[in-house]
Amino acid sequence: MYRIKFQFALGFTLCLLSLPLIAGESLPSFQLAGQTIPAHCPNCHAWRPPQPQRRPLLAPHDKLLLKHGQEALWCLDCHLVQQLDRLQMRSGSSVPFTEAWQFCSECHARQVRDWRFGSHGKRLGSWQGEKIILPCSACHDAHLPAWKPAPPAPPPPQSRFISHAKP
Amino acid sequence: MPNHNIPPSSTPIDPVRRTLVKGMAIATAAVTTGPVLAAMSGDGAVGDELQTLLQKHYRRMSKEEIDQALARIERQAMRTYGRKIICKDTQPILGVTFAFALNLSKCKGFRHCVTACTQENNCNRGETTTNIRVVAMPQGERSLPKGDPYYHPEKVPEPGHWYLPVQCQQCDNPPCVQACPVGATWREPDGIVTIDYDWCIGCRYCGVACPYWARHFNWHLPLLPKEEITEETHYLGNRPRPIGVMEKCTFCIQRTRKGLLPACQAACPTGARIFGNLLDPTGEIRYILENKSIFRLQEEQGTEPKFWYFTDI
Repeated sequence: MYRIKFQFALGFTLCLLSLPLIAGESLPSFQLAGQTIPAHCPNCHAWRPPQPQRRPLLAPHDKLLLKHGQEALWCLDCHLVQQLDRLQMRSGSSVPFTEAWQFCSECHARQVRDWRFGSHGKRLGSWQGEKIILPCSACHDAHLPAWKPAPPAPPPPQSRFISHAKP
Repeated sequence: MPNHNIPPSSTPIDPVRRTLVKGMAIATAAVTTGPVLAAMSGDGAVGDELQTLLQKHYRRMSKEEIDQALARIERQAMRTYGRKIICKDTQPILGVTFAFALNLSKCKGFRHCVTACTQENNCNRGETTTNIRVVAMPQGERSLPKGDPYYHPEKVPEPGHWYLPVQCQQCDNPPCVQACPVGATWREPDGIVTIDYDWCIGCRYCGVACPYWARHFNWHLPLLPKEEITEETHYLGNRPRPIGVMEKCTFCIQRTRKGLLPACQAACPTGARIFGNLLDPTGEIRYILENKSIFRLQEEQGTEPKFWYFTDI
């Protein structure tokens, strides 16, 4: 019993000692830009509770393309059952859509770390001063996260004298 | 027999004729130099052309001379394109060296950077003077000449291709600066390699020296639709260029020296372009240099580019 108490006291002291260290290595501060897409789920599920069983999505969900994680995931793996416009964290807590990056980091820790330090995602405004960055959902559709092919902008005009056409 | 009718050479010229010749010379000088002097001091089309010709090198001009040159550039743009522009001479920020990092895993070849760059920098719309070229490379290929900068499929990314955007790498040891015979191009204190368009003689040696094909020559007076001209310009950056001079990417000097991000970064839909201060130890560029697998284009040439490419893996 005493041993446990001692260990607890030691752990608590170590925690207190390491606080300044953690604070010193704090992540860079940032500000989120852009709007978060609102969820349409509460339109119906506010009065009709969702079915918790995993199943193929039929009408009225058939328009919803769920291609996240090679179709391994489904609604309630991410959304909170009681409140579908919040995201269920592994720790038991939940976050709103505006704080979705915390939820995304549970699987995509490397990407979220890169995003916070500035090598993933897009910064807006100025290269100096406060960092304003776009949230995950500004570029990735949460249900279809991969980038879709799109037509490119027109090619630059070619010189009249030199042909760059491939043989 | 000598001809005695020819007068000897020592015969004095008729004094009336001499006075007449003198008077005519003075009158001619007065008639020609008067308007020339008036034109030089004035701000008409001829005066502005003469001012451009007689102007000093950018780095040897005093504050007043630069102000005169900026006003002259604004007048010339108004005359040529019928659009009021604002030309500035924003100085570099102390303790800042600009650098670029580009994520090749993120670049999908949408080419929005090229469009935005051409628009922002008042590039010629009718010629190959785009400062950025996105080269579509076959998978597994690293050699620039194997790539195609004129790709136009229906949709990108095409299977079996990766995309390499190439622009001025703002070298710390720029071969173009060494090649210029008149010193019209140099490296600014914030690391940007710039051109004084009024000092450039158009010999195009720098274009040959650059291993990145980053410099372009204005064979014609730039074709610029009036409504598409960017008004905020810089003397060393995006002001409308005269005919017969070189131009290049300046990391959008008119934007970045004011604290804004370059137009290509602002236009990139995938966030592949990262711009910042190389000297900021907590900045994005330093994070990438310390944590990512990076490379620089044609590093073996010793040009020391300030443009790094990296991948996610």
